[in-house]
Amino acid sequence: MNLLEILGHRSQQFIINIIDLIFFIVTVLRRGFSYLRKNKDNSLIKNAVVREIIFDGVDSLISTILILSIVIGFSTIAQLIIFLQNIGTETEVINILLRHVTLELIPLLTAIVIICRSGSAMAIQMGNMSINQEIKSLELLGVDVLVLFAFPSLVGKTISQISLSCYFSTLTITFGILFSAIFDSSSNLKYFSILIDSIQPMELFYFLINNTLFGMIISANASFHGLHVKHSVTEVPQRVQKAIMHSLFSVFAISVLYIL
Amino acid sequence: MNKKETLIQATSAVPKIEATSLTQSLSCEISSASLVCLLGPRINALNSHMEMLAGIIAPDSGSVNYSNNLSTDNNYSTISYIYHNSTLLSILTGIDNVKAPALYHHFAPVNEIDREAEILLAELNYGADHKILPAFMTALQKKHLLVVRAIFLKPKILFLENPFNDLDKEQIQVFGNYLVQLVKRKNITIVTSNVNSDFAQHHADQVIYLSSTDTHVFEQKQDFCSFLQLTSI
Repeated sequence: MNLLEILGHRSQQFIINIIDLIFFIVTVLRRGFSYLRKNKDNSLIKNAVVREIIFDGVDSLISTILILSIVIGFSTIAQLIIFLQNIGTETEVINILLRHVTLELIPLLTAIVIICRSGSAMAIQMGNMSINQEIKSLELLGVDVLVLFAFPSLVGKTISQISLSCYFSTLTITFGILFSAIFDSSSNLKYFSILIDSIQPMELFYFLINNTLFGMIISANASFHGLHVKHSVTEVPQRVQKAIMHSLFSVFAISVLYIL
Repeated sequence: MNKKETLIQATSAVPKIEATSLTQSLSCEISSASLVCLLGPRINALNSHMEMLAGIIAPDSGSVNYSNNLSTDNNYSTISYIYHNSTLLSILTGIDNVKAPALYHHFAPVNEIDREAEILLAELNYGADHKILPAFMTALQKKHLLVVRAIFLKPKILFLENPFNDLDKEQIQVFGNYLVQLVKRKNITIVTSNVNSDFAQHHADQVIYLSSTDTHVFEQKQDFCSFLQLTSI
């Protein structure tokens, strides 16, 4: 195979993966909402979504996000404010803090946390369930695993991504401004009110779309690759690796599109 | 005594499977509330014939017909099938495993499903804790819970591949008695493959023996006993 063939093959594979993933997301959403429409009083799926939000969102609040917010607030945001004040205007500081840190960098970091923390865990869990015939046994009882496992995960991870991203952004900026006020000048506290006034509704809308896509892609990759484990235990780490790498590539690609 | 209804009728049916040369055709009638045992030297052939009877694989030749009471659209509600390697969901406790399919199908209100699950588990008649994960259960408890999970959906027929696989002699006795009691109390038909000939001899209402070349169907216990003596199996 020459270099051109390898590149062609890789590109073809990449496009097929994207199409597969989009098809998977659409199928999961269609089946999930159709199930919920038919079974309005059924609490099984709703409880599963709540469990997913607790696992992905609530459980990582203090243990991961709070600590990361303090670290990033101190090591990056506070330094950035102090440095930018010396070389730029107040508007430029706000622009960088709001557009680049809050709306672009923090959602990306949140997505990376979710990929590492629960995306991988979910892919392993699904892979093990597939290999142990647990999925097949359930399907024989008429249970659609896409509705029972993939749909709650898709909805739960999306809600978790949005809420964690809001929480992470708010905390990081708050700690950043506070540390810059402590270590530089208390006048830096003015950025709180200026930041709040500078937020545009359209930017919040893009922030929401961005995070929704991140959440859906992370969950879909984990479920898709986990459910594709078929015969051997060795497939589990291979699929988990693919789920993590595809999720990372996808969120970076979406971030680039968001910037453009 | 209730008249037994024919649920499945197979006529010269040979399962359609790839990479194997299955030639034995099966002709039999499976009645309601009966215990049917498929025996024979080739375990794969037994399981393939059982899958064909359950409608999981199609017949290559011949036919398998179902009674009108057996819906083939949502066949989980009338036909349950437990593979020899079927397992409970590892992420749920025993009792949650039992309730999950019933909750998914919205079989009844939640409190009724809870009550029904407690009743079914109490029928197992031994002091096992069902609020633990399958990883901490004995092989017998897992087998019991797989059956309870399946019969929770009130199927008319339950197919069990190699039900005594992984069980010791004492556990086989307990699980065998449970299956016999299920047929009597719940009026369910149980079709098993690859059970020991002692169990079949004492409890089966019908024995289907698939040898390497022929298929023998025994409706009477005496006929099967004579066959066993004759062939010294």
